[in-house]
Amino acid sequence: MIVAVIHINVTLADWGSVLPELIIAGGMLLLMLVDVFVPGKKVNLTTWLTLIILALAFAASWNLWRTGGMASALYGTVTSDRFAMFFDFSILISAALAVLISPGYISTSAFDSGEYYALILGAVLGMMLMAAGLSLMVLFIALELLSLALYILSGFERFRPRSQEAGFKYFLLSSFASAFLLYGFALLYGVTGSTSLIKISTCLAGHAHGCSAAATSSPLLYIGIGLMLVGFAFKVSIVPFHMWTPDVYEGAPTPVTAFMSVATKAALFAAFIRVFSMSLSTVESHWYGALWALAIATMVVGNIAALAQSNMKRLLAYSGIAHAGYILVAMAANNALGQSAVAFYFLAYTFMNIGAFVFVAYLETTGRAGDEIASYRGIFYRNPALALPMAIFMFSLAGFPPTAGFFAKYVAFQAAVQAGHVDLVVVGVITSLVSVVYYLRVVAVMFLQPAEEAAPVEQPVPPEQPPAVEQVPASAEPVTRPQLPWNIDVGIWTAALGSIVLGIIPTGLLTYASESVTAVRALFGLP
Amino acid sequence: MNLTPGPEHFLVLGAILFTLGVIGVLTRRDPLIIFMSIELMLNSVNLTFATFSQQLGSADGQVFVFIVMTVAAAEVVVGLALIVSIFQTRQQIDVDELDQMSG
Repeated sequence: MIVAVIHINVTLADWGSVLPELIIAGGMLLLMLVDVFVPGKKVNLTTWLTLIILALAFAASWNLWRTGGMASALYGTVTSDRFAMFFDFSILISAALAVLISPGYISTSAFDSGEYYALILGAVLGMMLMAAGLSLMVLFIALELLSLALYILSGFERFRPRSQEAGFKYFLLSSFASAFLLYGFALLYGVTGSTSLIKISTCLAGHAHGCSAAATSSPLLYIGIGLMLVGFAFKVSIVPFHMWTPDVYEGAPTPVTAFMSVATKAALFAAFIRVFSMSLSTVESHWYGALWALAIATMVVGNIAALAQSNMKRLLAYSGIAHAGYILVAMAANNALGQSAVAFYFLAYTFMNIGAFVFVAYLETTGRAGDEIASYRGIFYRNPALALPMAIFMFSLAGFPPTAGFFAKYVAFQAAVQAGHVDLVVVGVITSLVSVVYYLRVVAVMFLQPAEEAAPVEQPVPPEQPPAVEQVPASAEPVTRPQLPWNIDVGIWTAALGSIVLGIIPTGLLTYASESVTAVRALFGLP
Repeated sequence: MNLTPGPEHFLVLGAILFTLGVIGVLTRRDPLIIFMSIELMLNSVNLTFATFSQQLGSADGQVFVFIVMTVAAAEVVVGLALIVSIFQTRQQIDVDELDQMSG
């Protein structure tokens, strides 16, 4: 009988490298307790608590960034390298902005705040683990953790049919996609004999003994890569697996949409890069063609479909699909510059995309049809403090210099040119030009004269009318400029500032992004 | 003639079950049946993992099976909760009727 002696060799440094995740997990449990034990309305308390927890996690991530983190911790299952930390920053900032705009939404929709924030933190935990996972098992658990939390959050407004529909559609399609991804993982495990991404990469490079040399040409590897590609493509809404995106984005509560539109994609793309560009880099020829086709289809379909949208949330959904296409271009470049472009892109995307959702969320809480573009007519004259940042977000999403969106796109395309994929860049530039049409349409609508002011209001009052009837006309309402609630103010201007600053001085962050990529490439033995 | 099933038989069985699951998801209209088809897909993956684990002599695959089973159970909880909440307001559940938004 063989008695296995297991030396449990987990040091404090191992736990330190998952400190941000531990803070989020502890915070999630704390919020659930607060929800049960603190009586009465507690939106303010839970909002502040969530923001503090996110800030602590951000500080812990920053500390790991500063010290460089551990290349692999907890038996090589997770990493706290700079690449993971860079994506953590995107995830935490987008979560914080989404939490900041939630109170107004919670009080108008009257749902419980405690479990709402606990679920947001659950999703954040899954996303951070997704960005840090070095093992197929961790990636799968992280993926399910974030997905399960997001299914519930999408359907959180239990009595609004659209929210229910969004939650249910997301649930069915996303778990369908998870099964594909999982089958891909199983085949990859079967071919390489390991669930560790680093061991998989050494096996495929032919450096490991006990791993057959035929692994790279095994048909199972091809099928596995195809299945994983389908799974990832579903989750980050890449054409032709994007059909769920507009419906879920439209139906889900707006702060949730804002959060998931950025953070989910950031986490999934981090894992996508780790699995494909790092672990499977030696068999690039197996997947490059598929990635090329997906990138082109995504850019073309996303941008053209966005032209026809009249609902802002749907427009942002299709714009998100188009942006996933540009990010895919950077990923297809499969060089260090391309991977740092993806990291930078997400930081830029966090600010500009969530900013646009802050705008929608605020208008929804004021009782107007906040997500119909037609209802934005003349909003600049009623509320310039709201319309100006929105214009910045639209310019940034369209990629005008000197905004963050321009530089993100520029670096992404530069990486593709460097790798010799000019065809992708040509399609990217042409579809970006198409995208200018629908982004600028939103800006134009906001700056149009309001319909009720365009018509002259002073009409000759018939003399026989008694003076008592003369009252303030209803159209005087736009004159009183509404004061924005402070949280919307902070959220929208932080996002606007981020979109501008990243565009004016991008070099510092680009250096950080490329440092983070150097760290992760070294881990996988890539130059 | 050797009739002992080898690993490839189990792998093929896993592939067939997975395909049946996919067909079920794509053709059925009752959310519960779609849901069961997804579970079938996950379990076919479990069979694949267990087979590889046996073939490779590594325990990773079997650990993965436990993780997948746990996750599948959590997924059932969330999925059924969503179905119940829809049923409470609509009194019928057919995915073709969930068409307030058309993607």
